[in-house]
Amino acid sequence: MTHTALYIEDNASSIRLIETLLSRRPDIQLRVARTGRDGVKAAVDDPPGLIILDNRLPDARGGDVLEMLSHEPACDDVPVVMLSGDSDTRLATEMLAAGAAEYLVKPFDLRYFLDLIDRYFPGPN
Amino acid sequence: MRVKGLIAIAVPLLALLVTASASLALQYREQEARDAGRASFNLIGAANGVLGGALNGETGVRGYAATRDPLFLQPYYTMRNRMATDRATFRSAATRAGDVPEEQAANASAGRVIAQLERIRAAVARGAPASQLTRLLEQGKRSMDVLRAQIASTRSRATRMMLSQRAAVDRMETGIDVVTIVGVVLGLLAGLAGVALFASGISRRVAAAAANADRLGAGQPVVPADHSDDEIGRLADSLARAEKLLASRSAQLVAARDEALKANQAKNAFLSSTSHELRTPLNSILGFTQLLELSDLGRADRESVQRILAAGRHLLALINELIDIARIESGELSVSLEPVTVRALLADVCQLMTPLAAEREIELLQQCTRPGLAVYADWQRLSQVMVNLISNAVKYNRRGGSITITCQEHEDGQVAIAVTDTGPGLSGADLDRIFIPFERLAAEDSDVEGTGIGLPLAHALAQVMHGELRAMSWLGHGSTFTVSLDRAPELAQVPGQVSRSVPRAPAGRAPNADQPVLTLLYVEDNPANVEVVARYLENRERCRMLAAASGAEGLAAAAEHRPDLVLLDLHLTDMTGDQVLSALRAEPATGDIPVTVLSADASPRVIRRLLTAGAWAYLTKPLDLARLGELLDSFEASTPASAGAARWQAVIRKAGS
Repeated sequence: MTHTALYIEDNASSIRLIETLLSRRPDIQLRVARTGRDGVKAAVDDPPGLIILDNRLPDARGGDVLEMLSHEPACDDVPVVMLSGDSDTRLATEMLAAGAAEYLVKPFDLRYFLDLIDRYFPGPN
Repeated sequence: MRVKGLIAIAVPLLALLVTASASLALQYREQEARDAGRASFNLIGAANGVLGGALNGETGVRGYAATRDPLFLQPYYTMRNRMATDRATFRSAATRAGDVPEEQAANASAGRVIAQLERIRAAVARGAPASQLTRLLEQGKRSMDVLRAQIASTRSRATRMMLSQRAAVDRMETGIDVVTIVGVVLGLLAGLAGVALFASGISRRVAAAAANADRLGAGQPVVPADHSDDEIGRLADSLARAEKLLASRSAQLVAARDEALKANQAKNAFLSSTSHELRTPLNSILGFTQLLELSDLGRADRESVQRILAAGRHLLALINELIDIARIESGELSVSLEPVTVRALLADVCQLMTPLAAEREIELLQQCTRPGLAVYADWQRLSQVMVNLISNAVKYNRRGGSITITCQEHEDGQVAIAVTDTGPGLSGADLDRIFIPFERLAAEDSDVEGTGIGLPLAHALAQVMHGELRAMSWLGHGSTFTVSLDRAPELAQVPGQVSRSVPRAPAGRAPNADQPVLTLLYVEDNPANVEVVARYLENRERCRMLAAASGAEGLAAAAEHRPDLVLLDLHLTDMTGDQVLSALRAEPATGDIPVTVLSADASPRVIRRLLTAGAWAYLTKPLDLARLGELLDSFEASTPASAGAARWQAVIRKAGS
């Protein structure tokens, strides 16, 4: 069974890191969107199993994206994991209250991230 | 003001002058009256002298005429010798007393009396006949009578004059007294009035100046005063100038403050933005390094990779602390103060720090063991402070030394938690600097790793939690860092309390064997919240509680004890609420256990998602114990084992939002 994760992020290096990391999980297909608008569109067109969301995008903040997703019934059941460079606890609490399932601060621990992915996508490995 | 001053002095002076001159004039007049009186008196004397002399002369001549004895003539001769002087005296006295014809006539009569007496004496001496003598004597008597009458008239006139002059003198003396008194009184009144006028003018203006000075002190605009060149006028001008100066200074200060505020905001914005900007490349560095670490590496390469990771993590810690300090400075760092059990928090922190201490053979002695002792703090931030203090105590200790943690309650309602090390200690000058960012004392050349802002951050965090951090040191013997925080009400000591890492032993009353018992599993990482619920359940029969401090522990406890109900906090340290919930659902042994989720900040979307994912009810935090009671009541009303989904759906509607 193949899972799909959607990474909404504009920083190439961060995208490359997640791509490399997820290459260790061949059953997970990673899609990337570089703006908030593209991300929401991609999520609605073909709802993924998990959304990984950056907080500072060229056209929106993480909160805006969560707000847009909350109006899309197709994405109701899609957990959103935030991967943000902002370490503000208040922001994290706001994001969790706005519907994010997790709030991870960059730089993140790779093992922790992989464990998290494995919890969402219990696979054969 | 000078004019008024002059008036105040001139008016009484003028009054004095008028009084003095009036008094002098009156005295002059009085002297005249006295002189006139004296002249009248002298006139009376002189008139008496003339009359007396004439009478003595007449008596002598009559005696001589009767006896022809010349011896009787002695008084007559004496009279004749003196009469010229007496008459001259009388004439001059009469002149001084206001010469009147009567006096001249009396003088003339005196002359005639003397001439008559001479004629009688001459007649007696030549032996004139008795008839001739008698006629002469009668003529003499008549002359004498005329003189007597005239002298009497003169005397009475002089007496009248004397009396009237005396009366005039009396009147004038009274007048002088009156003028003097009136003058003194008028002068005094005028003086008083002048002084009052003068003083009220001064005091009004001084009061106005004082009011302006007060306004100046209170930072209000001064009221312009009438221009004047005197001292008070200059004072008012100075106040006005001071106001202008003050206004320009405060404008400068406001500008400087605004600039500083702007700079501080800019600094905070910069730090926040920088934090983000730094994290993104650091994310790549640490991320790809971790990827490298996961791959096959030679020993030397692995060591290099580990060095990169250590340096990257140090850099990350520095950034985190900097951001925290910036947030505290800008007042953006929020803490949630709730009762925190000191022992539980220290157990947590010590567990974390023991490996670090063991590496340097340092003994960690946790002597703060009072079970219920609690302080108002933010669990995470107080942990941060304690980790900071203990890691410092490890870093700046001697190998094989010790760290002692003690607690002390103070009468002012504070609890002091002290961390004492056996390191080299700090000098007094160093103690003054340790809470200043980037002052790494005596560590400049050492290989002790640190950011230099750990202590300033701990200090600031203690203040944010309404407490304080103090340091004491004995050079060569070690240091003590003391965090003081407000004491919280003692939390109920739960019987048989077990370590947080193991599900709690049953709390509450011992169940009767024949009664079904409700077993509750509370998955919560804040011990204070666990204490509150445990304390509440103590008063409830047929109910026991298990506690788990993490998601993993909660899952294990649920599988082992198969509770009737799970209370699940959504913010756990190791897993999210969603994960715990789906894991419970996925396991056949626990899949049917109703789960009530607890959260302080869940949005409707999250609640909907959780309910969809299988949660039975949702309660907001802080936990409303009455609602928890309702939930348990409705649960007990049915047989737990047969409680169907329908009943729980009802509970959701009742207790959920």
